[in-house]
Amino acid sequence: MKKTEILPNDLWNDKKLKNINKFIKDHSEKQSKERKIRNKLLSIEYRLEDYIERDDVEESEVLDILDFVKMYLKALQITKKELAEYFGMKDGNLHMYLTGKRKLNTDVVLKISSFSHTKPEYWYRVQVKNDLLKLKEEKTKEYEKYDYKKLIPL
Amino acid sequence: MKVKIIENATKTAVKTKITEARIKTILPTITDAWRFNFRKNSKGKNSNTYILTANNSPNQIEGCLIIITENRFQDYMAFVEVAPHNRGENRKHDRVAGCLIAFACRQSYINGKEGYLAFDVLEENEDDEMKLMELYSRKYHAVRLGESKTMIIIPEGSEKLIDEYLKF
Repeated sequence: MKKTEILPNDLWNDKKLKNINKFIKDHSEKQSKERKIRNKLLSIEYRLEDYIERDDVEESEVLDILDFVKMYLKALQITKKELAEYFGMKDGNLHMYLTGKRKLNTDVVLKISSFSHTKPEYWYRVQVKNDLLKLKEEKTKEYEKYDYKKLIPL
Repeated sequence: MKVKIIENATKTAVKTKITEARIKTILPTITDAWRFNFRKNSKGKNSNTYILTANNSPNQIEGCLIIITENRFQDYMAFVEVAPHNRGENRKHDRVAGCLIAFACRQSYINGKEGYLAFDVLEENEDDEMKLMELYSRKYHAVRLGESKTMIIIPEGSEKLIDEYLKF
């Protein structure tokens, strides 16, 4: 086959873009409310997965469980207070869990995971990841003395 | 992100990852027997370049993808290609293209475009274009925009592709 290089300008022009945008805008508007919500929830779920998987998260990029829960609240158009009510909890109590001031327990994790249609482990992993990020910044060196090579004579 | 492709000879899963190309990544080009010049086209404005590499051979690119994210309603898959050794009957790996296209769909969700992904099918002759469009429609849930060469993957199709190729 002849090798012909295809350039971006061969593919793209304003008229074409206008047609694509019109098709997608019309299609998007015709989606059911349920589908639209699902699109938003999938977007959050994928961001959550990427956050857990990334190993290069900087201090300025740290996201609390609250940050992700807020995304779900916005997508589903409810308040944190309403969510606390649905969970049978006080708003202040839920806030402590979501901000990491209180460690997540199975009950809270299962409620959040059921609410957001996500795997329970995701929420534990966000908590552990953030704990380790804070620890790294503060005092990783202090723990070097627990290296088995320093503890156990071999 | 971690994904799995299939080694064609043994039909076993190969652990791979899709990562954003870094400045120092040597991207493939037409002189490496690739069809697209990823090295040059990756420098475009608002374009993101991703590579798929196997964990056990991180320096060999198995597939490459460029997405343009500047449009309000959809991401545009400007270039997607599998490495020459992953083409044809004697290809080394399967599922490389599917993983990259599904990844592009996932980025569209992440970028707030509801999973809408547009792309063009361009071949040297019309028969090949028709065959390719049919393949994209059947295998990757893409719909043709009118009589044009543009195809669009809509949210339901995107979700199916992500489940099929990235949650394998």
